[in-house]
Amino acid sequence: MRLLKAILISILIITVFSLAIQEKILQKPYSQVILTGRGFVVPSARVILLNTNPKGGEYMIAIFDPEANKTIFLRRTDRPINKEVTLPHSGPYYVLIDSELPVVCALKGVASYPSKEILNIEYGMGGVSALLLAGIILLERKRNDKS
Amino acid sequence: MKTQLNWELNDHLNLLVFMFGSILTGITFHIHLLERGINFSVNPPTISQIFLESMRALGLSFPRLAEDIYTILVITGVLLSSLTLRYDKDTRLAMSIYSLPVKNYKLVLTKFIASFILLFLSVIIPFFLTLFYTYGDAPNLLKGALFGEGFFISYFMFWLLACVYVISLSSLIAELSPNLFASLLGGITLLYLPKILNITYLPPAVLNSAFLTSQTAFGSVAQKVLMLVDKAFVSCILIPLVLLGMTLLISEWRDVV
Repeated sequence: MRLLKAILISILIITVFSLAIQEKILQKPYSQVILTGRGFVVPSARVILLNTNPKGGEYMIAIFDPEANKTIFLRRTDRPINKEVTLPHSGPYYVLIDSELPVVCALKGVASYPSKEILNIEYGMGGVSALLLAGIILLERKRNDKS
Repeated sequence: MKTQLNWELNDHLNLLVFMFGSILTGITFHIHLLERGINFSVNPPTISQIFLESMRALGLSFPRLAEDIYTILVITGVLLSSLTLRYDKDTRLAMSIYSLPVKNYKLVLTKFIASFILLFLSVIIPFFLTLFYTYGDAPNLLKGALFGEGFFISYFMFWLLACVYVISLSSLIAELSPNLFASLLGGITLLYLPKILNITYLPPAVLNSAFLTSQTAFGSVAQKVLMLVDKAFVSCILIPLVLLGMTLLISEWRDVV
């Protein structure tokens, strides 16, 4: 019983610290350069600035989201692109570049934030563990009063 | 034996160390997860291949035995095994425990199991909790990576082997040492030595490399897990078994001193 209480208290404290930590760490700058088709894993939802520098000729660039199984950005053009793209959740994304001539594609993080689902999970988990802890303590007190 | 296990698992001091360990590992895991971002390439870029590779990349981006995580694991493990095996002898409480009509080695084995369970719980709960806190908004991919690609069982085995190694070595030190202080100091030093001397055939280096080679190999989930166990067999199963045997022998030969 005491072990269960210790586990619940740990979960509660980890949750509180996680909420504080993610605000702090997600402020760090994020950037990367993609030359050919390539996937990347982001640890949080974010808004990125997509910047391309084509050498001429038409090219196609797309960002695919395997979680929702859909393309979140698609553009076929022969000009440089400078556009903000929202990555709605954490996890892997895939950037596809289709071009005859090399295209440099730079992704620069504008803002990173925990998505609504993550916050729901964190608040839910923290709330459930706090309630369970309170329930166990109350039950124990009742049992002690009886005996 | 069951009563004793229950008693050890609910001991105040052990649980305090358990909470210390699990909170620190949880925070460190979350920092590692949030700071990490890895790239992966897909060849050929078809939709099904992208799915597969993105699940694999997600699984490989989970934290393993990095330097800070290993340090926390070592400190927690040494504290736990020293408290269960040595502290009661220092406070003379052991006089009444070891005089029970139970063989000494059984008592020590139970203490070993109790500290192992606590250490393992203090790693595995924060690991999956922070995983959920970071990638919980991509539930399909997370589920696919953990169960479809078998990362759940692989990481489970990985942390199990790490905890077995840490607890078995620190238990032997605790059983050999003259007091609590010597046991803490000796345990932490011996467990941290492979890291400083860069010994590649002892954890944490051997576990990390075994995990990477087994996960990047082609094969089914069972094959990958077997390969992980096989690569880390000597240092994480054979040596701990020998150390455990020595601990039990010493407990019979050396009475409560």
